[in-house]
Amino acid sequence: MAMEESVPISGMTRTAPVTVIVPAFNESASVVDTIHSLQAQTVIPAEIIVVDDCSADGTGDIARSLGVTVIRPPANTGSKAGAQTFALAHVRTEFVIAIDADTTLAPDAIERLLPAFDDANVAAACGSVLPRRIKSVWERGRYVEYLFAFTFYKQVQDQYGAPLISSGCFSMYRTEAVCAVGGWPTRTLAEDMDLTWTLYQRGRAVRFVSGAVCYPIEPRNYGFLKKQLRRWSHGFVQNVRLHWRELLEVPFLRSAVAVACWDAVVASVVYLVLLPVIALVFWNPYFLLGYVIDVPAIVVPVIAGALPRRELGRALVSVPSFFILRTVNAVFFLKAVWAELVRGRRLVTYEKGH
Amino acid sequence: MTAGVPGTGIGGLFYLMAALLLPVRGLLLRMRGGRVSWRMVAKLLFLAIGVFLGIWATWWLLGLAIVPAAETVEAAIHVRGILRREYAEFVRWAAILAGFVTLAAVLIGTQVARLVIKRR
Repeated sequence: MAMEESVPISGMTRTAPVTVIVPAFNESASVVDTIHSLQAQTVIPAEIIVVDDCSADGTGDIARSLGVTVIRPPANTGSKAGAQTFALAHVRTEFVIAIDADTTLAPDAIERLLPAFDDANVAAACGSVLPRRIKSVWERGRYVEYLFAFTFYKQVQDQYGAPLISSGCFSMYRTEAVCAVGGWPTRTLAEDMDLTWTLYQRGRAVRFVSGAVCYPIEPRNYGFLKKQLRRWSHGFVQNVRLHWRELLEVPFLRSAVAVACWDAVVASVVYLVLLPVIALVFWNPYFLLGYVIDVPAIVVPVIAGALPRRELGRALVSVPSFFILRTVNAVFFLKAVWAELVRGRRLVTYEKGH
Repeated sequence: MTAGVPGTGIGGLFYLMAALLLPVRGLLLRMRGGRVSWRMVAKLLFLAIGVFLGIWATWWLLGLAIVPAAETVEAAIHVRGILRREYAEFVRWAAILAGFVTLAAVLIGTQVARLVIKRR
């Protein structure tokens, strides 16, 4: 992403009652871009706190040289959620932002998120996510996945007042709301989903603001992708298991989660088992068209998301990668369901994978 | 993160129906004095119509794929009485209907689960 010029929507730069928490474990290669993008915001945060989670690569020193507050827990907290909660005690502002140390923001991202909190019941707000680097097949697949999800699914969820997740890579929260639930929970591997669903259960609202864009670094190789997908798929299953009773009382969200569960399991089985079996039984490759038969329906929101960004060519070229990523995604979801629900083997180790 | 497999299965249909129902929801909300962003409703409605046309294209593609596939099925299971074209139409409609019926079953199942849990 090219560094964009900071031009405030309101015409003048101001400081907002916002503290930004940047959890960082060995992030010396990426934390500089993150801090620079925070310092270049059209609305300046009151404080930027980098949690140097006992890094061995000088992350803390690099962050300190850029003029931000650096804190270091006595021992590695073991997860992003742990590092964020450690920093929560240092937050003195009305709002707090959690942002990954490999994520940069569009210059007006904070300014665009703030109005969501005009409603006193709103406890969290998130924006659109787009990969910063779009080169490898996995990054391209994720790019299309995000264009599709943030242009269509997430906006529909917001209209019904129930975004599925306030994204962990960049979200703003009302500090009292996060403190009231004891910080970012570490009981599942998807702390963002856990916190979002806990807030709903407490009657609080969550908003999605499509114009507030963040750019994380997505896995460029299979090794990193594997770690990320393992964490996400196990985290999803763990959260459904933990929250399902209470979720039944949250309109729209209960339906969205039920549909996601169905697709994660049944659609994955159809995708990975049924289609190849039918093609083999009838010895006819036409059945394999099932893998890409929904191209037209997928491509419409992707085009709608890419056009305003003038990225149509890049998006269309990336579409085949999406189908590869989707197949890999299905494998990981099935494995997570099998391990967590059938074998009772809970994944507890937080593996960093962007 | 995106839960599930985006685009495949009933998720796409669910969000399509939800987007198509947004104007009705907006009207009901407005009648109760709530605020509605009609601009966003219109944007999502147009998008949903685009996705609907995409599904129609899928339906059409399915027909193209089924006719050659039907030849093998015919040969494999010796279906002599059914015409190939009728078979293709049947599979095409069945695929679309199966999606809607499954979606309805999942949504009704969720409501039933809610009522059962509430009673306990």
